Amino acid sequence: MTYIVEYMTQQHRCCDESFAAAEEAVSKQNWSEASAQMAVFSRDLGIHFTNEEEHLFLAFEEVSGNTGGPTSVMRVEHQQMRGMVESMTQALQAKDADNYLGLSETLMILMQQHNMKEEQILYPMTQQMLPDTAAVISSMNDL
Amino acid sequence: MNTAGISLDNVPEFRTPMGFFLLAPWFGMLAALLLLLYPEMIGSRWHPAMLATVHLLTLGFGAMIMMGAMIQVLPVVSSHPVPAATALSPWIRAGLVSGTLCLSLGFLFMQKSFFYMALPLLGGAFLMFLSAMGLALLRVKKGGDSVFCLRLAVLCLLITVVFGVMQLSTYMDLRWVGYSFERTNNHALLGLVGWGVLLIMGVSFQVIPMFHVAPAFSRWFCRGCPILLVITLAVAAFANDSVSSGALLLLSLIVSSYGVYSLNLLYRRKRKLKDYTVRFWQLSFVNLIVLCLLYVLNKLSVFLLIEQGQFHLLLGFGFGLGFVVSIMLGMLQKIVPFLMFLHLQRACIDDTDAFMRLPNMRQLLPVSDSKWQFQLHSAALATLYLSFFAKDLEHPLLMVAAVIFLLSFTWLLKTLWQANRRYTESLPQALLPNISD
Ligand SMILES: [Fe+2]
Ligand SMILES: [Fe+2]
Repeated sequence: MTYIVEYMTQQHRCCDESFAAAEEAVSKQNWSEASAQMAVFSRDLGIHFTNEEEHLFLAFEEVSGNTGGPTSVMRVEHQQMRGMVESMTQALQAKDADNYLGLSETLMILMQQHNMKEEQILYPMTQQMLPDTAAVISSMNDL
Repeated sequence: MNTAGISLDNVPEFRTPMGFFLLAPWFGMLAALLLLLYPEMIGSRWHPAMLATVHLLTLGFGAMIMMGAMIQVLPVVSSHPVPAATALSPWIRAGLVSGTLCLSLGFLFMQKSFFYMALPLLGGAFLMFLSAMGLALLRVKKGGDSVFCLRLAVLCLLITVVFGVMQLSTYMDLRWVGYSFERTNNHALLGLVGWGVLLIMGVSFQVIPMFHVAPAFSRWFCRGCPILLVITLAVAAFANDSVSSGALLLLSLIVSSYGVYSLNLLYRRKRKLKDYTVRFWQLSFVNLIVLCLLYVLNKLSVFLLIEQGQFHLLLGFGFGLGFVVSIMLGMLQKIVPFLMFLHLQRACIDDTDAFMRLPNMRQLLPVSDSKWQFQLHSAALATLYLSFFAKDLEHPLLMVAAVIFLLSFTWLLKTLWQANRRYTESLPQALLPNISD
């Protein structure tokens, strides 16, 4: 895939899968399955965030000369989500299903809203602005 | 490309939408109380108490929540804020509250003086809302499908309000307007199906995939369905009788296909957890589909209720309480704790300790509260439907339904009130003075 929108959107969907699987396992108190899925989810989400922060956003900021704009909001939201993933991991280790589900509910909406902004605004914008999208994509890590 | 004008961070202050949400249940409670006091209103749509109840529900509850939600949702889906939202909101709320009360008192006691007060109050509230919203919607350059749908919804609201104003002027003996009561159906149709369905559609395109990790609505549907709906609605409202009757039939098919499609997407959602928002969506879409079916059957002379006036009241109440209000109740269970969390998180972005101690969504609005809300609302709806078939027991059953609706709206107030208290208590102390001024 050479298009940023498709490539990155695909990564979002991939994270959704393990996220939903982990959540379902927690709700059934299946802790081993939950830990396994959560490990996949936090690894994939981490890779995706790094792809954005160190490759895509960086390239966008260079071309647009704008470091205080949309990408800075996205970076802040990544920090918020990282914090939530950490809290969820702690809840998982403590086998506290209520706390985990309360947090995961919040993270899910936060993440979907964040992804929506990227998919509908930021990715199409980078797609148009970057001179060599294929190079940026090949510099990123697959999930 | 100019990236400076695009902001990905446009969430209005929390008190702006919450102010609307906290006022709405009071009007639901008032409407239920009227139904309890005047069950005989069910005999005619022109009964003074019926007109008062309907407007308490549509303006006081429905429009109140929809306006609050729209001020919140538009910046998220379009990346453009609603101009002067924070400054205008208290005035819009004040106009809507006082105007709706005056209008309802006017209907209840058929007092012209109340109508004279209601007209400028409601007119002013809608004028402020529609101009701010219209401006925001016009400013959005590359709007997605939701924005497209919201634009059409706002247009329908505008026409509904204009019709409503003309209607009110006949009550005030302003004959020069030349409006006749035969247009009441258009006022109701544009308000419920135009503004109501289009707004819900626009929001659902965005929210069903987002909240429930369900597949997205297909592009052609997101464009085609609202366009088709508006054209059919226009024909139904303004063509002559036989054409209009055909258009209404088509309209119920379009609306029910939206319901079937949404149910299917919800069924295919990835998040299969027990979730009362999903149940509310399902309840409302099932209501919608069944009502459309009954309408079509009625047109084909398969009568559920022989008395046509009663049948239309059943459709109206079923649509309003079973479809629209169910969705609102479901959305509030999610949107309110989410917004609270979002604002709390922003408030302590630099304070890791405070961040880790933040209550999560389920602590802000417990699942047990949502569960009770769902059960009370479903029970009230079921009793209401039953009352239409109860012959001699119609009034007693209606009064039972009214009591359960009263409980349900009171429960909503309690839930929102407690959630708001938990939110305020969780705010970092340093921020409180800023929030209150
Ligand atoms: Fe991101
Ligand atoms: Fe992303």
